[in-house]
Amino acid sequence: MTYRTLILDNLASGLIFYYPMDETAGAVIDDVSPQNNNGTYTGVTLADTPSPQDGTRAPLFDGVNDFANIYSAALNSDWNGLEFTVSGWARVFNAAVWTDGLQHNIFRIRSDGSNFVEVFKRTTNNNLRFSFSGGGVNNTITVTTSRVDWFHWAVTVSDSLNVARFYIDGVEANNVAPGTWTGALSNTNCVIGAGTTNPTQAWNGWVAHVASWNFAQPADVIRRLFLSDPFPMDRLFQRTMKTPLLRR
Amino acid sequence: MAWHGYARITVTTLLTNPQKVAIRNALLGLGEQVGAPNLITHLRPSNDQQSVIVEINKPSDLTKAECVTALATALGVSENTVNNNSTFEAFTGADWEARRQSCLAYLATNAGAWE
Repeated sequence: MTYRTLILDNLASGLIFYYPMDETAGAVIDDVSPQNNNGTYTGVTLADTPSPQDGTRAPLFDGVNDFANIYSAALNSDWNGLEFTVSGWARVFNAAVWTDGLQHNIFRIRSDGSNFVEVFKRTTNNNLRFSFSGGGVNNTITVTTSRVDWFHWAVTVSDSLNVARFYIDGVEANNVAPGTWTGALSNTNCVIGAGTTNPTQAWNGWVAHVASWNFAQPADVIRRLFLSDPFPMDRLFQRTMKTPLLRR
Repeated sequence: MAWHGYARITVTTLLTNPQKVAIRNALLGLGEQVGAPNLITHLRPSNDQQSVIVEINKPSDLTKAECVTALATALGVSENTVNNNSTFEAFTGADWEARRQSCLAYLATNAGAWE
């Protein structure tokens, strides 16, 4: 099962956007979800390296001036900062990125300085940071790493359950009691591969399969996203379908 | 063979906001605006927007003279004025990747002005 199939067939409910980031031409970062919240690439080298979990290829962000702007009025309408999941895959260009003293953002969605979610490599060596701020209550967790392979990241936020969870490779790294998100999205701060559309804090490496839902996915779903694993219902369905074939 | 790389131009006299916009548009006009995203000319201004890093793909190396001509036209001043009030650095390397690494090293050294 490809990652795309996993999301579109098994996790379509509440999907706000899903960017496989497997384009081979053009400047459109294609949202293949029904919401069609397409964005625009600037500068990236398309189809540069094999993506995780499938046979497609992911774009390289050069760490200087490349980014994908995913802001749109439609995304602003779809976005719910009170209840959401964001997830994706990322990989640094090489080990030196972890110690280059620069901030490199994988992902950011922001209304203002008090309401945002982002995942980035800090200026501090070997620090990957997850950050969620709602109503000025800024919660962060830091993962120490220098890995050069693909890793899966996810953030889930539920204001109603009063919990934000941060995951790496399908495992919860930490959880916090979040503040409450307010405000419309900024048209210069909804970005993949940088912190702003200026651009600043440009990612140096690859990003793929960035998706968001309008509710907090449970831990087992995040785990299955990391594993690209079909769901029990799928397995049941597959077994049911395979049985007649086996009998032949 | 085309030159694909990065260069930084800095205007040393204080620019107005309209001048900063004019400079950005002038630099974008130096290269392609259609094609693959990585080959379309794109920029990164410094925090104060007195400097711009331009990534460009063109038939030959980007030179200060080309930038000066474009900026002089955009700003409505003489090339001599622009030349005397600007600095230019093309990030060196044998190919795009080497030039990119050179540019990244510059950003790391000067992060305060660019992040």
